[in-house]
Amino acid sequence: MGKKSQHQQKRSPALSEPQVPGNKKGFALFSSPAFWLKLLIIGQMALLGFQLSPDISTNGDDAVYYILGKSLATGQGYRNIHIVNSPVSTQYPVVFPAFLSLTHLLTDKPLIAKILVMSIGCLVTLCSFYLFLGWIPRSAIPLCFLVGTSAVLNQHSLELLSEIPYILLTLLSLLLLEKSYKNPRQKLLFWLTIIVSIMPMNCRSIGISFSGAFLAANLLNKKYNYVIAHLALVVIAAVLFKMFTSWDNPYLLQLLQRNSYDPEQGFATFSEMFSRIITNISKYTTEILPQASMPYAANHYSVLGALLGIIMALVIVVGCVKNFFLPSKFLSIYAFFYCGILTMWQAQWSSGRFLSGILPVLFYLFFIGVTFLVSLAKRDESKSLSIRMKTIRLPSFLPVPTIAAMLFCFIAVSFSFDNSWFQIQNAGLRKQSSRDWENFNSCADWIRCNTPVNSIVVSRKPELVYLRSRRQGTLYQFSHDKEKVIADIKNKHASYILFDGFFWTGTTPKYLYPALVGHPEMYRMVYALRNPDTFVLEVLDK
Amino acid sequence: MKLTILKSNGLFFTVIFLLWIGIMYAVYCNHPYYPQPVPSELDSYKAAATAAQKR
Repeated sequence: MGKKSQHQQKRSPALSEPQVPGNKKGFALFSSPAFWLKLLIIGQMALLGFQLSPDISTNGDDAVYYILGKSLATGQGYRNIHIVNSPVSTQYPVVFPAFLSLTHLLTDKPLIAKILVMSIGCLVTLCSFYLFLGWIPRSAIPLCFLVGTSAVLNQHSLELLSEIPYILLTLLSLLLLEKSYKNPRQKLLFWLTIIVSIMPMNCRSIGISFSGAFLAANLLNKKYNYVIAHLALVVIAAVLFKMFTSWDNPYLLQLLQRNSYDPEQGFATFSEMFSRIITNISKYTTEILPQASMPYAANHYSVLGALLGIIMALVIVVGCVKNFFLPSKFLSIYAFFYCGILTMWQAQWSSGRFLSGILPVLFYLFFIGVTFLVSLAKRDESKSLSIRMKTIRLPSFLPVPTIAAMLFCFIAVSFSFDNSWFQIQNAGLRKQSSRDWENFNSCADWIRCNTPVNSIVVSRKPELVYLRSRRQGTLYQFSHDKEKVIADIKNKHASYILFDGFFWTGTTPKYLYPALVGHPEMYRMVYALRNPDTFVLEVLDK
Repeated sequence: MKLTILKSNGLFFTVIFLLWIGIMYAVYCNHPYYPQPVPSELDSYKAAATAAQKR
């Protein structure tokens, strides 16, 4: 990355405002990257604004981030204040809650936080443009269309999740690193680069892959001062965070568990871990990658989607290998580490959400792969790296960059159209609640209006109950031992139990229902909704 | 060279961002985050449960 790429040296004519005669000035507008960038940002803003729902989503994680921000802003430390006894948070890195805490100083509603995260989504597109412009100047705009219109990325820009801030921090870090390489005497820039480079790891746990790539890429580039400074700051930040919170590592625990929703199953063996990796590779390639790339087509034509996913994955692998020998080799190492961790994660959690953190990098590697494959198919005497294929010959009057640019434009147009259409079609669904969530929320509203302020509520989603009802709570134990579940409810002095009828999970009928059926004397029903049956139970025997 | 576009269009991006944030805030600032619960169906639930027991 430190060396100036060949593309970079040649890019001036492509980027500068075209010098054209007066009667052709209208066309010059369309060849200007600034015009397309403005159009893209405005389009992305329109897409995001169209889909925005001001409520906290039902995901759960975003509610926890928001609550941790509140805990920091109100001087209670880094604590899960929605849980009874406000335990210290050990699971979520601190950067995103610290950012959200700023909004709590202004308002107690999540609207400003949501708008700020949406703005970060647009900044990701801007940042991608400036980063990729340095490496593939002619393809930066088509690539940014993939980023800016991506349904997965925009979906996470609409939620209070750390994925989008994480992407921004990784891109910013790379931009600064590139700038710092070019200005080695600027000490301020050097330390700014190092400080920003440790942020991804403190924003999302998987950011460890970014730090690993940062160390490896700088070692390969023989930039030892970056390696030492980054390593020192990462260790200091990790030790300080653990000192102020806890030395437990729930992230590692979840990685090794067979099923976190059934912890009694224990830990995965080596062969189970291997099988999990194979399952994840298959799932990410044939389902998640196509849905993250062309969601509308992938949802309507699953076989075509799977085929598209396999082809894309292969091209990305080719691009990753090829890119390792280019100045942007950092991204190949990073993608390798990141995807390696993804494949080891519990398969039930494999989703577009976890892929989104590296999606702009995968798009970049896809473009590199396409360019390389085009150069393979093109007989060109001047290209020393190209391997000539005798059987496939493209027209000699079209140079490789032109063919690649045409392909990229085609990919960008079809991708953007598919993603935008998917988002427009699903905007209404995003704002609607399903019946199970409507009932759950109404129960939380009833608890807010009808119970003492110090009531403790047992439920499947205590963080969402806390935001809605302003009552602390706890999650019931995931145990098949009924007495253990009851004892836990009593130990925590719970006053109410919110019995949900969630369609998306079966833990309440699996763990809570048998325990309650065995102890009917323990509670009485005080509020009920039907279709699906959802209740608030008052605990009598506390 | 790389920052030319941002420098020359910095004002444009700043204005468009602020305008967009303002519009979003104005549209949703009165959103009801804490609505009243819907009426309980406790009686209807108990009646249905009793009827089911009798059957």
